[in-house]
Amino acid sequence: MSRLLKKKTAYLIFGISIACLILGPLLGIVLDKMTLYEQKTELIREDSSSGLTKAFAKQATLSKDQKLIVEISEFYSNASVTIKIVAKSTYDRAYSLNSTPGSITGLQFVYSEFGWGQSPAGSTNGASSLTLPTNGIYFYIEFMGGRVGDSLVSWPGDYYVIVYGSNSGPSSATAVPFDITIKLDGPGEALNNFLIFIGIVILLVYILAVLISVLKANYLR
Amino acid sequence: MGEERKKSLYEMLPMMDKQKATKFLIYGLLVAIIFGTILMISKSIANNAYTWLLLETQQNEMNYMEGLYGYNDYIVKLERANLIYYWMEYQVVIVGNIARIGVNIGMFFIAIAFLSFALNDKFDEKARRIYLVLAGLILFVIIFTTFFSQIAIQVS
Repeated sequence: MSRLLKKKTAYLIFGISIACLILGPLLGIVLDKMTLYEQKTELIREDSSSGLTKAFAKQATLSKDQKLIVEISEFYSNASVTIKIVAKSTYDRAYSLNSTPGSITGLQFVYSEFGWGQSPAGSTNGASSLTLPTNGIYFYIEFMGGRVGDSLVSWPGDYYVIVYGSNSGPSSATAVPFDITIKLDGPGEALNNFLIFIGIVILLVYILAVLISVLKANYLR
Repeated sequence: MGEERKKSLYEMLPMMDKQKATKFLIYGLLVAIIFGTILMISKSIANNAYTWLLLETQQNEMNYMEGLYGYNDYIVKLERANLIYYWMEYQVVIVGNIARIGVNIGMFFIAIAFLSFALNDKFDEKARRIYLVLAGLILFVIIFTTFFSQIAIQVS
């Protein structure tokens, strides 16, 4: 009996193939986005508006065709925050000079205003900075470096997400709280495609090999 | 030594015993059915590709509206769905050609089996004639589907 036709070999090969076909979509979902930073009630102070060294800053490195996603919300009383995304070179220079964050020009990103019945293109806007809650309480921002219309242009490199703000309450209240989640595109999509491809190829090759083996054992010798 | 030597397919073709010929018939049918089924599945996938695309597009749009991902992820998923849709339509060309080879091999084994039945003098004359006609018919189909792409058996 051919080694290919043995029960143990068949179970092993089918097992590997099915594992690939199950793991592909599973890893695809799990690793679709990687959380870089997540903080409910991130706290900065009012002085973040007057000097970049006091502002919230998180570095992110983007490779080609990789996207940065920022979910930010501001619903705390008297607090107002502004978000910008800048290149590392711009950030380093402004940080060394402790420039006011307001004077820094942010790079272009898009943000989506989700709603039922809304067409995706019609509910997406471009901006280089957003102020919460003036522009809105919650934003879903996508960033890749550059932007043409509602589409992002991939500019691989190092970037900083900066957030600064103010508190309109009594002068003793200087805290500026906000919620932020920063995510990066993960290897989920590539892993999903690769594992499904491998699973199907293993299955097809095995079926063909078994068929040839059966024919060979009976007739083609 | 001569008796122990295994006969080649060519050597045993004319005088194949009934048992061996039946085996040929069964395996031939099996191969033809497997490849035929693969071809039908492949055609069904291609025929229903557009419906799948509509479903995928609607699901993608609803995921966007729910806020599961943003506009650029929506566009990426839309483009990927289009690519899969084109592959679903095109795969029938690749699978179809492989299946055609498989079906022809299967039919060749069936034709050989019927030919062996026809040459077997243990069957009565009438049965042998029917087997010969069947073998000829199958060979006819193989030759025509191999050399003329416009002539094919349509199963719907």
